[in-house]
Amino acid sequence: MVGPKKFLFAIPIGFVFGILIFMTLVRYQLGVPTASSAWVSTMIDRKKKAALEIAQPKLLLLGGSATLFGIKASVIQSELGIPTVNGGLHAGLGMDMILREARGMLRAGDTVVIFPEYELLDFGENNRRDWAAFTYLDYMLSRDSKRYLELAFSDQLQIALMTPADRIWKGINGRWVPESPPKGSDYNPYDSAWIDSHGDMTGHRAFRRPEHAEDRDQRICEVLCHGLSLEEEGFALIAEFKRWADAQQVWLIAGFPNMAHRQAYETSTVYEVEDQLKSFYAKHAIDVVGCLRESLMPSDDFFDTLYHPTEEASIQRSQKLATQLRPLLMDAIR
Amino acid sequence: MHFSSWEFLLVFLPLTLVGFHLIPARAAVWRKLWLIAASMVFYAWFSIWCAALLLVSMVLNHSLGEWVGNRAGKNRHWPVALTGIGANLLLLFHFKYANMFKQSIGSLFGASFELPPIILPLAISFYTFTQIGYLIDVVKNPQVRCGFIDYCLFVVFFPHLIAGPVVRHSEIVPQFSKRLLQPDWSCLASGTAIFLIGLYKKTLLADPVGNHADWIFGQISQGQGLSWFTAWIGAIAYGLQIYFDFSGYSDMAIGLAVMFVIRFPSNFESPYKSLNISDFWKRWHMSLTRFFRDYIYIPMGGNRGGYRLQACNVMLVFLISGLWHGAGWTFVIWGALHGLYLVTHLSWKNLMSSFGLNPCGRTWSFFAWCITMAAVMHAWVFFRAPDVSSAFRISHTMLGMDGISIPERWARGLGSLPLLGEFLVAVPLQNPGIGWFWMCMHLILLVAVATCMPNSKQLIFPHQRTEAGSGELQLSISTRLGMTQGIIAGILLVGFLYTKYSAAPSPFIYYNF
Repeated sequence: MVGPKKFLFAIPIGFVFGILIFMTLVRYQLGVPTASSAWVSTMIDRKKKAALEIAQPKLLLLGGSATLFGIKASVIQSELGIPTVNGGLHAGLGMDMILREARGMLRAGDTVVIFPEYELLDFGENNRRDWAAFTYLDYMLSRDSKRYLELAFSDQLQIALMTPADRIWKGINGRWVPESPPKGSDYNPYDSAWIDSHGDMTGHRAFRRPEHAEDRDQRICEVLCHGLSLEEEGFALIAEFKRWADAQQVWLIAGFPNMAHRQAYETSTVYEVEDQLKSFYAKHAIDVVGCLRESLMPSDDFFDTLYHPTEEASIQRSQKLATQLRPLLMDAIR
Repeated sequence: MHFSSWEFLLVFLPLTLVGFHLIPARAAVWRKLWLIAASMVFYAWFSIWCAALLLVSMVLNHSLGEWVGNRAGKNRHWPVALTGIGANLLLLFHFKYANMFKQSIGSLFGASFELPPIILPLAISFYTFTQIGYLIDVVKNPQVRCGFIDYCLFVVFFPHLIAGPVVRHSEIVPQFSKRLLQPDWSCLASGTAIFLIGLYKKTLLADPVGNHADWIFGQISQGQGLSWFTAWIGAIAYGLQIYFDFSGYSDMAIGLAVMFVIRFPSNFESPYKSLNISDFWKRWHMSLTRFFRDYIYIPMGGNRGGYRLQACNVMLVFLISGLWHGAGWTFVIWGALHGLYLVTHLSWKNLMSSFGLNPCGRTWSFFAWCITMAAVMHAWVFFRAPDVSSAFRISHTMLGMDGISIPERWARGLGSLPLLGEFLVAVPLQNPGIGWFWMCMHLILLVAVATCMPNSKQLIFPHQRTEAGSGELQLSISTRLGMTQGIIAGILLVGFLYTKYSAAPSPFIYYNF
């Protein structure tokens, strides 16, 4: 073979060789805990522990950080008298991971109320390139390596390619010099130290509310402006979770995530979205609590993002939710 | 469809290449038609409306060329040709500059005009100049006319259509008949190699350093002031970004053309190795510089009328060059600055020669390089800044008029130095995430790449020369390509894949022009 042909044929060989080197580096740092993933990891551990310590049937509140910040399991427990755990995690982990972690917190006879953020309905594993943020990648590589290794090679490669170079380097470096957690005296809502024994987020009081927060003050939820597609992967994952719940004798109820209200939502689209969601839940025999418009709360009640109410607002919201859940859970309450 | 997009790399390019090679060698016309069709699809991908405009523009310009060529020597052909050139420029003016001038006149007289949104057709500056060049050449020498198919392929051939190099028909059209018949592995390999060099320049060098420039210039957009240190870092980062971005694009265009057995003129020859500004312009965007030289500078008298006329011509050419780059006064000032630099260099040369001096030596060369690069980087601020006032504010800071302010930590070390220490001002700087130290190391590394490494032409076309008389470019294929180079190119492809996944897509800077 002459030079030019050799050159052309060597390119794919070099490419495969490069991929192997790259994946070896990624594998080498797999499972090395990073300080940045500690929040999610400790939060999951704490919530699992809280859930599994309860022997009798319990109520699990599930969703992303709108549930973590916006609903108080302790308030619902005191209102209804049913042991309640806040299983809200972080939407950035994706629907699949949130539902997978929830399975580990549930036992037969439990009730789970899911409040999926509207964006979360599109955060599936088949389109992770569109949404997967650092939180997901970091947690997967450092704390969920077993799951990572179960994925197909193409998925493993995709996750590796999406991970920032400095994160990979941090993992490699951490193999030799373990990373120490950052020291900070200020209140940090993304610190698991602020999660109580019910799995509730605490400390996000109104007086600590940041003065400016673009996400809280300006971000618009596109779904409520432009509509929802039932083709999104999150729906299939919820349907699959419902089948699992039925098999495990777990009762699944769906609710609407609390969110900052915007002028742009005052259109018929919001009603259409609500109808779509309710018909999807009805189709899969999932009971529904509350309605979409009730879950839209004034912007001033929110802490740092449009999904995170302040602690005061979350108490009020939880009291209202308890009232709405009471008729549904009548048997359990008795 | 950018050269680095998936749809281009995985669908458009392979299909076009396969189709090109499947058409039998004896059917050269079909090969040309195939390339024209592919190029139109490539362009229409951005906008069908713009593709229609391009098609109309080609039909009119070719017809005009034919008309003018048929009436050569009858005196009446010059006014018609000038009308045609004027019409091309008017079209360019309408799409690119109308709103800018309306806005400027409005602000000058305190009036406000309604500015209708005008969609700038992609590449209009490039294809307008390409066609104007053809018309002027036909007027000068009607023999250079070519058939409509060759003309279309010359204008729309997708590797140069969007952002150059600005090609001349005399160097491209003859290649269509001679070479389109003989594609081979050597062309494919050399073309792929040079295309990949461009791709890596763009994705592995330009885009990462562009993040530094974006961060620093973003501070200005947010109304924050810059220190002397950050202003220079921002200017250098942008200078490196635009070089690797545009020279990367040019390499990709040249490489694509070679895959189809066509050789384009070089566009960059290590401009940051220049020791003076005149040398810089012989190495930077060479095809555009050549266009301005041949069609504006020389017809205006060039350097034949003495120092003053030459200085005026240089200034005028660079003002036009600035305006060509963008519809904004920042670009005009950028052009004016370069004109001023060149006139200063011309005066310096005259002064030196009048004293019979010819400074040389390593120290002098280093000093000359530093001065040249400082001037070039300073001018880039006007190219990148969001508006004129921001640009002047940064320029003011860079010239040390607000004091030489550097990060506090560094000031503690450098402050003890004799002389220098007195001028330094320690300022607290917002950390750019990567840290100032690593940002500086990154820039130093890229400066070393730009100044010490051979350029793509030296790597792939070591013996390029122009065929005597015709101006046609010779396609000298590299014999250096082999297994090792292929493996290195393949490994670097993983780097490209990585940046495609982990970073936000970043279009080529010159797509804006």
